Amino acid sequence: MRCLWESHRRGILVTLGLIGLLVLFAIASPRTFLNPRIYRSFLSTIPVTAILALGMTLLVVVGEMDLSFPSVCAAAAYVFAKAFLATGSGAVSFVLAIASGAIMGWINGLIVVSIGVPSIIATIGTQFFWRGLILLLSDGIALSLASVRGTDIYSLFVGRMAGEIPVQSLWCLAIALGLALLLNRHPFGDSLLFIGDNRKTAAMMGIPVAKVRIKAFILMGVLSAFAGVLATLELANWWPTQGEGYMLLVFASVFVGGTSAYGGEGTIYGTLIGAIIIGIIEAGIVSAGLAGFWTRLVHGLIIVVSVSIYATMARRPQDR
Amino acid sequence: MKKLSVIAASLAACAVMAGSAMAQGSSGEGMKVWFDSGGPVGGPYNTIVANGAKQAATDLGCELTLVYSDWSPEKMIENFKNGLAMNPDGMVIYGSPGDDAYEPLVREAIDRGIVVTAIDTELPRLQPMFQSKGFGYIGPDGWKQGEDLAKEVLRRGDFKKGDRAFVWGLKRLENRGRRARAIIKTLEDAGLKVDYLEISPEVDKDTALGTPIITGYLSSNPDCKLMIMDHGALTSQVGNYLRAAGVKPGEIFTAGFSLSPATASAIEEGYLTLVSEHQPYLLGYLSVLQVVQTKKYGFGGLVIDTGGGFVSAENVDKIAPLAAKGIR
Repeated sequence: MRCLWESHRRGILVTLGLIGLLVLFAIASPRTFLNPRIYRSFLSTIPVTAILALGMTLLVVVGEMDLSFPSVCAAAAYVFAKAFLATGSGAVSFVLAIASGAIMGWINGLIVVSIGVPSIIATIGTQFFWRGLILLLSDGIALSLASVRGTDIYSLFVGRMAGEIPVQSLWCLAIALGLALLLNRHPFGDSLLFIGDNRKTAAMMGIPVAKVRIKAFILMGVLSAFAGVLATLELANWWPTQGEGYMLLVFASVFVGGTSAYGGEGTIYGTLIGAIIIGIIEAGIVSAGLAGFWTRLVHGLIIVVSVSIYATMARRPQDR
Repeated sequence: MKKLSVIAASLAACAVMAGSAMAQGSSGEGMKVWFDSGGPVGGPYNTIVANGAKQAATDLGCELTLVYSDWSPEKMIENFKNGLAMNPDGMVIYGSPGDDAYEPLVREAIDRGIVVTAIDTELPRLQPMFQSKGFGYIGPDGWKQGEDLAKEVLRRGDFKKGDRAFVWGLKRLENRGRRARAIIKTLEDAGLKVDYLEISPEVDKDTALGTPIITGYLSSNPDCKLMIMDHGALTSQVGNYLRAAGVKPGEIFTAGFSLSPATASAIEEGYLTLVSEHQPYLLGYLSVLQVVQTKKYGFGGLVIDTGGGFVSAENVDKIAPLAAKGIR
């Protein structure tokens, strides 16, 4: 038991936090939180935040950041929307969108790794660049994709399994499982953790540091593109400011989930639970009859409390 | 009707002026107009305003400089200061920062011979102060637009005293929030029980994040009969919100503001009942037209209320194609 606590204490803490929050909301608003409808709704919206946060976790683990993901999300979704309106083919549009996400991630990786620009600065630049490009191309006008409803691509990614469960939640779980295996059971994951912990040592151990870092950026680009496609399909609409609302939610999910801001440490499970916590707060507060203004206060409180606990846990006894 | 006549008369007068000027060459030839589009690059609402301004600049032959302020009053002021340094012939501003913030800047601009006019949000003290120098206002009266929508909703819907209504708005923005306050007051005066929710900055930018909020609210309040979204992008997503909450088209009376292709789809699908539109394209077009004509002929500032248009299932088929082009 003690061994389990020692090895998974961040995961256990964040899970207890989620359970506590759900109990609190169920007491405050039983009509909402004891009814499956709100959970179906969460399953349709949280996956977008969660998928972005999962990709970001790997980048933070390797000691990098990507602030361009909202724009990559919107740009790839724009590619999807335009291609779908032009060809009517969901498969072609999806492949093009994911490929564009991979290219944008690769460009981020090249700027950071090959040119040597710090990732925060580089991705602030590319965030503006990609957003600017799609605004120029779209002329700032939203695209309605009403015709996508009922197509195979719609059912495959955002349909309702057995008429109830949003399929995007299953995709999110599958991605989380895949990334957890990648991080904990694959040499690529070991390389991410080593590089995040100490880049020079990792290079001396023969880890291809540059290649691994670029791959992490490409993965983030692909996941951002996928999240953008999911958001566009769910609403059957592409809009020019798409993705911008996720910036703070994604970082909050990553850090509430217990990933270290210094790199070298992080869990996929923690981020997934962190995304769920961040994703249910506003609906819980509103259902409880409190003003929406409380949302930010509670968000802030949860982030500060959780990162403070993690920081305290990370300190060695002799440092205290 | 009166309002429409005023708009029609103004348009006709301006068209005549522009037309006669065209006969002698473009009336805005050689002029520079600085235009604050208000919102972010690509924002759905301010893009339509900017489209109107661009068309006016093309029609009048003037040079247009567009700037973007991300709906931030501080950025609007900063942009205005930078705009002054360009020494344009005319400047078009949003009134959001308020009279006190703008007064010294507008005074400086007018003293330097620059024509300034406001759109979208009124500057009630500055407007009469500088109207003779060309300072006008083109846009909706926020309070009146909110009141008109609420009255139209009450007229079309079958509501009784004590019925529950949900209003989702942006009261934290002082001038912009007047619309939500007017809606709430009108509904409450009619005896409805109003639940107000403030739109968070995240939902403001990514409307998908609003889905669980609506589901949660409707689960807690299944007796809700009316929902009003005081926000263009949220209005366009009413269908998705209600679908996720398990509400069928027509079960709840829904209303909101501004048109977009998605809004038109929501009306066509029956999820959205009524939309109030204050014709943002005209804000851009008429304001540029006015500053050019004022600069050339010394006219006083025009005051035009562009609100009053309603879109519902009855007329959406005519208006939807224009929404797709960024005109309505």
